[in-house]
Amino acid sequence: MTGAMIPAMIRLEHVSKSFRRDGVTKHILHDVSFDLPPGRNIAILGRNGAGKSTLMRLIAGTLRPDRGQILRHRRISWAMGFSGSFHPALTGAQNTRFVARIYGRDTAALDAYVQGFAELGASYHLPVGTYSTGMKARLAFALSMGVDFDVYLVDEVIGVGDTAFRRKCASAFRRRMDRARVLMISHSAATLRQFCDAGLVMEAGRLTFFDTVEAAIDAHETNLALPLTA
Amino acid sequence: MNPHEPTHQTASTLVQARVLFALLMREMTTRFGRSAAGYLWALIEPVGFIALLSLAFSQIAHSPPIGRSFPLFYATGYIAFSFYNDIAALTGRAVLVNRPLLNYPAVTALDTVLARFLLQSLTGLAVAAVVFSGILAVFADQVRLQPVPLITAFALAGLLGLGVGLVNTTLFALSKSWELAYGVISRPLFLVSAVFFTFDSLPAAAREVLWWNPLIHLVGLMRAGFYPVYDGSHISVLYLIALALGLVATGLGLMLACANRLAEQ
Repeated sequence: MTGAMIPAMIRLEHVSKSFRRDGVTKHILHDVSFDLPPGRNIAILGRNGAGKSTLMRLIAGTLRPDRGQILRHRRISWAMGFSGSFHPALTGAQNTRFVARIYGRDTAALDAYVQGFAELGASYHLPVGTYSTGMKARLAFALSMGVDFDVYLVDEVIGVGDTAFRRKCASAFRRRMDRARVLMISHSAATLRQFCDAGLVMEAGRLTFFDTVEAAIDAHETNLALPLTA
Repeated sequence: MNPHEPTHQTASTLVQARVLFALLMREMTTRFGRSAAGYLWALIEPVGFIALLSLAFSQIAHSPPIGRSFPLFYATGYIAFSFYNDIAALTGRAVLVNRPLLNYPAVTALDTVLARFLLQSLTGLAVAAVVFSGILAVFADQVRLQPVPLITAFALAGLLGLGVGLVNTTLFALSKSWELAYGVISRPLFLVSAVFFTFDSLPAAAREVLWWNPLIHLVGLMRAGFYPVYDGSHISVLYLIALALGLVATGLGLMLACANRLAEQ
């Protein structure tokens, strides 16, 4: 580990990420070095297309940076609301056991927890390829609660499914926040105020950290009033 | 260079072992199902094929090109060929089949290849052991097992299969047309790999060209491992090692260079 007294929960070292499509290069991050301080719940703000979801997937490790590296000193969830990691040919149960094995969890215990939480009934033993988006989201949510991450990445959605199930998700998530931290993308300032105590604003390939979520929201709204640069 | 799941860099070997185990379990359930019958199928194909070749050729010849047992002659050819070919085919499609799993930061493209390599090597060795001991028990032949060429044959067939598979893992994932082209190119390989003839029986012009087919050397090594009278002077272990290591290095290089594209498509 590198020098700092309190290790960052996530450290970005000279991270660059850009996408090229139809000859146009779009820089999401440009040579960004940054420590996400431990113990904070951080809102991620930025205009549409600034790359909030890309940043989240880089932090989750599901996208690799073009240059630089990202060091993680905590167990970090996949971006909640994103269930693309499931293998369509495997059943819900097989995907669950696979996740238990790669994260070093007891397979039987996680299996029992997820089966109980996700309320998928007999579909739990059918291939995930046969699931609706909602069913996949239930499985993903139950799994991320069951694996017990230190940091949860939330991209817009906390709860999934019908009202009753969403309520169950929200209450499970709030209980989890007693011991876990969150990085959150949301278009709702109210949701961000409810869960976060700091903010990170993305603008033109750079990240700016704000010690309060209010300051971050203000800066973000100021950005929105300005024309897009570069 | 990869994400340090779950917490620290020091834990990464443990994590890689867990990932390999998880992938191995996944491959076993999808490949063989959960019943013993699934594993039986892995035996039926080679046994059926060797029986068919033996039956067909025993109608047109009095004895096989070497020894007296038709099944043993075709088994030495077919097992050497398929041990290589099954590993190459399975590892080549590792990323295509497992791509969604690469979304987990702990799972790398190389892990998916290694898991398939391990599973297929073990399956292939088990099949070879059953087939050969079955044949030797039923058809006694003038056989003296030579451990050195035998072990070399399996080791290099595995390494060559891994090398071809590694190169194809990346190329298949990036180019559908290469996958199709490779299927067409590799199909006749079975016919020119001395599975049902011997290298020596070929005309000189054919020998000159086919010497470069590494499968000829693998089949030769396998036969040298069974038949003390077999003349294996054309076999070059050095050629096999150089080719296999070259392919493994190329495959790893390609995988490293294209790591982002493999995970993100």
